[in-house]
Amino acid sequence: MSAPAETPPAAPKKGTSLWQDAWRRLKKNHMAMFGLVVVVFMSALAVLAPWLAPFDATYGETWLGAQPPRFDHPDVLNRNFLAVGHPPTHIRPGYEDARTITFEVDETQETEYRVRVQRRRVTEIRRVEGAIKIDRVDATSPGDVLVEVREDGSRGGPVTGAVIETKAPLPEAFGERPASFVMIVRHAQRAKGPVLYTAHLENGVVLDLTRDGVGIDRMEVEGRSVRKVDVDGTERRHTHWLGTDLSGRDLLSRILYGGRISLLVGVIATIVSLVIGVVYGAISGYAGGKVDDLLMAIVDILFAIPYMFLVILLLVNFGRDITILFVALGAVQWLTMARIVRGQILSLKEKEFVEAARMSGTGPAGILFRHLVPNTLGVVVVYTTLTVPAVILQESFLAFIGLAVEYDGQSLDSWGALVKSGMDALGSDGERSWLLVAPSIAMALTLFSLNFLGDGLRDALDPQQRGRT
Amino acid sequence: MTRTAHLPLVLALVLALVALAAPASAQQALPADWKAKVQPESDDWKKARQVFTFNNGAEPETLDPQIVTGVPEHRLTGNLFETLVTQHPETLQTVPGVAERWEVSRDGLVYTFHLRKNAKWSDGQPLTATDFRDSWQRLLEPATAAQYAYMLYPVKGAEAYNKQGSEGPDGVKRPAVPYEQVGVQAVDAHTLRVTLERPCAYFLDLAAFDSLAPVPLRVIRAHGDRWVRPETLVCNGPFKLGEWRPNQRIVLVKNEHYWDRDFVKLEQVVALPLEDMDTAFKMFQQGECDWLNDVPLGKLAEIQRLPEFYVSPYLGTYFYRFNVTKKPFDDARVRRALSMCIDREAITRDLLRAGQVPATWFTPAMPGYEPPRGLGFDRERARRLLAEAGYPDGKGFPTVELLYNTLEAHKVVAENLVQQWRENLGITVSLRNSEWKVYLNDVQHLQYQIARAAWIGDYLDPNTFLDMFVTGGGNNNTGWSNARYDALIAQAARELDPKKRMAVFQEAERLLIEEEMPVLPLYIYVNKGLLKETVGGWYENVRDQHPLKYLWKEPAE
Amino acid sequence: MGRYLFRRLLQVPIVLLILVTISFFLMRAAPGGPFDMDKQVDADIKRRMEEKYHLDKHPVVQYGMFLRDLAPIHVFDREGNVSIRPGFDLGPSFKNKSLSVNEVIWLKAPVSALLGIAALLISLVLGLGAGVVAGVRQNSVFDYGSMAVAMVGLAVPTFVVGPLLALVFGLWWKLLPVAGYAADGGFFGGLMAPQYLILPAFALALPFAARIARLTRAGMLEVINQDYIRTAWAKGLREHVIVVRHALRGAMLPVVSFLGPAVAQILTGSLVVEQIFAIPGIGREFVTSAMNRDYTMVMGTVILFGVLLVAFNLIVDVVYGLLDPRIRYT
Repeated sequence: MSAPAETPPAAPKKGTSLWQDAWRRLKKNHMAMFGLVVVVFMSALAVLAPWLAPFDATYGETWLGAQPPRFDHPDVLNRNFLAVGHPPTHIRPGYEDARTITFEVDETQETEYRVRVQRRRVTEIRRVEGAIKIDRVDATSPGDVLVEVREDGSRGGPVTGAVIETKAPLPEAFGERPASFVMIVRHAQRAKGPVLYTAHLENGVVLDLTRDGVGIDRMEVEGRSVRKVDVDGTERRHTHWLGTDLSGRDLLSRILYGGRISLLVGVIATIVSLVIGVVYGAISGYAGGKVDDLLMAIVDILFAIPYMFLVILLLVNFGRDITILFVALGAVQWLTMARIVRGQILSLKEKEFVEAARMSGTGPAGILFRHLVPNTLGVVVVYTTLTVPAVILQESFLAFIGLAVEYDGQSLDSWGALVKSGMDALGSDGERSWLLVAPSIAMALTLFSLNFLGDGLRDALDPQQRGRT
Repeated sequence: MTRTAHLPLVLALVLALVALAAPASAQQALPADWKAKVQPESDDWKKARQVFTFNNGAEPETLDPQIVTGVPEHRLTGNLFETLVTQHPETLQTVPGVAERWEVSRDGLVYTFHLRKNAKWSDGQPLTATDFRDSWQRLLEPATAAQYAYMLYPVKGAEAYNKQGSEGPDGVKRPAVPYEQVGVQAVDAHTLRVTLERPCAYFLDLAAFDSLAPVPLRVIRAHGDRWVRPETLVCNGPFKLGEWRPNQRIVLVKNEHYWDRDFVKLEQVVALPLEDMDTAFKMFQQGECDWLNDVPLGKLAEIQRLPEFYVSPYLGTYFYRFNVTKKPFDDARVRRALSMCIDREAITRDLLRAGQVPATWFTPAMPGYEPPRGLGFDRERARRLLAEAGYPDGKGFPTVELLYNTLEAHKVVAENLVQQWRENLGITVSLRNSEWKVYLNDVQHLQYQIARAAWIGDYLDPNTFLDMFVTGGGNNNTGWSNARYDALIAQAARELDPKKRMAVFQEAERLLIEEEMPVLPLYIYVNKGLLKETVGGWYENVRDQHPLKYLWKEPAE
Repeated sequence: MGRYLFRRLLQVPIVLLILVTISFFLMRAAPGGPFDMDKQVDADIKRRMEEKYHLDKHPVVQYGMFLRDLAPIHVFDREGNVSIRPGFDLGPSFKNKSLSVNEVIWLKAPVSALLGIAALLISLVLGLGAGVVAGVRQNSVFDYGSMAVAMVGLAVPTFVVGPLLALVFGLWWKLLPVAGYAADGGFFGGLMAPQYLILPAFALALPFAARIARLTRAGMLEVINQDYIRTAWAKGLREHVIVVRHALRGAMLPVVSFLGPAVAQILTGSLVVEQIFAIPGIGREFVTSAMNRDYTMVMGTVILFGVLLVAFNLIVDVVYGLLDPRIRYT
């Protein structure tokens, strides 16, 4: 058998002193300690995600689209309903005890056009919705304005009284322009100005409702048109500290939940591999002889199977369930663990304490799992720390090839999937880079830390094993 | 976009589809100088290298025009093989192909095609009426297993020939049929006579379809399935196959034996099989590619501002299916409620952003047909309907599962639907994404509750959208069955008056999307892509079909 | 050593048979078939297509037929007459209808091999170089710096590194093509147009280089304190002689055991890199054929990968024995 990586480890000292020793050594290793701190921190974030996330990670304020970090906007929903005799629709807390809510709403009707200018002439005007070609946009009626939507999403100064027409030059009011370009223009038939809705509430139920002072029964406003919202006289805005994704969801919240998924996959798949690997390796090592030969031959054979392929086939066959993912990833990771544990058991079982246990009448199972396996804990811990990041990275690979799993059927993504969509959204000039950078940092930092911690643990627990496996 | 693996059958009909309706005269007359109008205005193009590179989006399975079924394959075979008649690049009207002229008998049953005397195969051999007759025999041969063999079914005896040897509905094997009984006859070398089973107003449009192109039988006999390689492929279209490197590129070169070679301006066409749209977009930016027929969703904001970006209406609907055989969707009120609480505009305007038309109807508007408006966004009514069905405020509504095939664009829409249902009805819908084949399998076996779907029209007639929901229809996949609907669709097939026929379709569609709602329509597709400004002769049309014969390259400024 | 090798070689066919069997039946068990499409195919036509590829038969029968075609030499033809032909016939591809699986492999594997070799060289040069220097100059700026870079290679997925490389070197600085492959195709065509290989090879190499660097550094640290190195120092040998001739040999051991599976992985190309850079290699077939239910192609790629994996594991064991005289094979 080839067992190069399994040179016998140093005889373990008494359990407690071994671990105390290791901890002492680990504390001296700054990188490992840094890793430990980060891992603990990230795990805490993942566990506490439901309480820490500032927003509902699955709720997209669609009208926002992708907005940069620290973007703030009025605290409203996609659609806001107020009806006399009903509580206001608002899934965010803070409205239950409100007594007056006012919405400042811009009720302008807008149509968006894409205007193509070539050699200083308008060559094509298309209404964006339905991609219908038209000949002219007439904004000469009183109150009509044309507003350019700039690349960063902001709006250019309003142009009034202008007509954009194909085969004619672009109206001068739009200013100095390159000879050929494309502009997105919104044609707004402007209402008189912002409309003010005011609602009075009692015990969380709307008592009366007015629109610009006139009483009404119910209102329905879109989040996109709300300019300002006041609750009991204070303006309600909120801030997306890491920005929003293309669907207008809070990125910070999604990263927190993403960590939950990634770490869950990493940890559970590792535990699966741990259980199979330790039991298998322990039995193989303890039984020795023919049984050992056979069991290890099986491991050798399984090593020759392209594991990623197996994962893909399992996911294809048994559906895209997160538990299948745990099992699939775990089932391909246990081989190394089995080899390592077997090596350890082989050398341990010759030790006196095993003989002593046997003399005192302990059965083979008892010896194996009460005496031998606990002594392999060091190696197992080290290997575990290094498996978790590997699994997290593999999960991100699956996300890339389109085999991502749904977490409990909710629209949540793992870190890998977040990084992937960040990559997809990254513009050629680096626009929307926050969508890539933030989840990448979270993922990379965690993987770094787990690796550093794993290395540190290896050095600390078993100085002579450094560099092996 | 969708992953529709089928061909858009270009049938630029149609006010009268069926039986006895006007014969080929329904076609609008084509101006005699139509060809001059699709020519470049100046001779500038001669200064440019006539090489056109485009992304075909996938590796073709084969280039055998009788076997292919997918859009990427069609983009190539349509330019390698020429049919009896072809279609105008912009208006999609029938224009001469291998046949320079044709006659239709008064009863609309006999088509006589007069083939060009200078029509040749790419190896210089003459192309004759026998080639067509024998090619069609191969198409109909059961052993060929051609999926589009049914395109010839209007021809007398064709269906019986194609189905010989297979089991009929009575479980008895159908008898063998000699090919002589099929209504295809080579009168002489340049005259092909086709006799139809019954009059078929759109037969010329069928004749323009790839599957009916001639194939080089002597080559196929010699090389079998492998005849489509560059060394062996013989064709009769404006281009021939120069090079085929799997997953790398396919090169078409101008066919010097093509009868209309002087009209063809491109010397070389390179088709890339890039599946990764981000990669394709990068290559386009680097100038390695002249045409992308789709763009990456994540970068749309940026792409929309490129002068090369184009969008145009498309004959396709994006919708969801309900499995009406299982609770809670066996109740039409629930289905209506789930549809009426969806703000479709938020999806097209804020998420998809390419100009898709939010739709509460199923059939895209087309000449002569205006779909009913359907049930618009009405949150209150949706909540009332749900309450009537026994789930006030969504209470007691089981958690249902939404199925979609794994793709970012589908995911974005699915997530938004789930959110709107939660927000507006208070019900919980969980998501399940499946890889393509699993998704297909589940949808076809009704192993879903709500499933994403799309349909691209095969021809310009409401029938192609509406007949799929008849009882037991092969693509129904909802379990929905309605006798009145079946009757209406059957009535439309019999109706001769185009106006009345459209009215029947409208009634059927009203039943489909205002009362029963086995489907939840979301939006009408648009074509979107990037085209270098140096490309000439490219026209937009609802079929997204751009024959290479008419293209040229202008010199860069 | 000879006996050990012989035993391992005997294992190879068993390993492959198990691999083939598992993959064959797992693939057949997957829902959907190669001819399922979103517009439903006429049942008759579907049946005829399935007949053509023998998919109408029981999976066990299909399995038998597959094994028969796979046999190294065919003695009988289909009619049972004696006719000796070379075997290893993987059958026709369902997706590329004009090519057999063998042909697809012959066309695409060399491309992946070229990319893999390039990536392997890069990762060895970078990894060993950085690892050795970091090990010898432990705790220096270089040590920390190179290990930090290695960490990036380990923690940032290739699907991020690849497109970023293309963006920066291709679109921004316009130094290299963003994607594509040599117009002449194949192994030698690719060799003649290396500009297409640079970015993908680096993207593919980075994670491997990172692993190698870390393993080498750890190996160096261990070896450098051992007696024979101290002796070498005492003999007054120059540093580079010691490092290269003595220390590196010992430090290579963990690297070598890592390289076995890594080489197989790298040679079959990475799916991710091939997709991002539009390289016409075999790596992509690995996933796309499974997604398409292109059963024969799936088996082809699995067998190819399995053979490579077994072969390199074996080579690793042999090299290991040569490098480390302490190991005795029985």
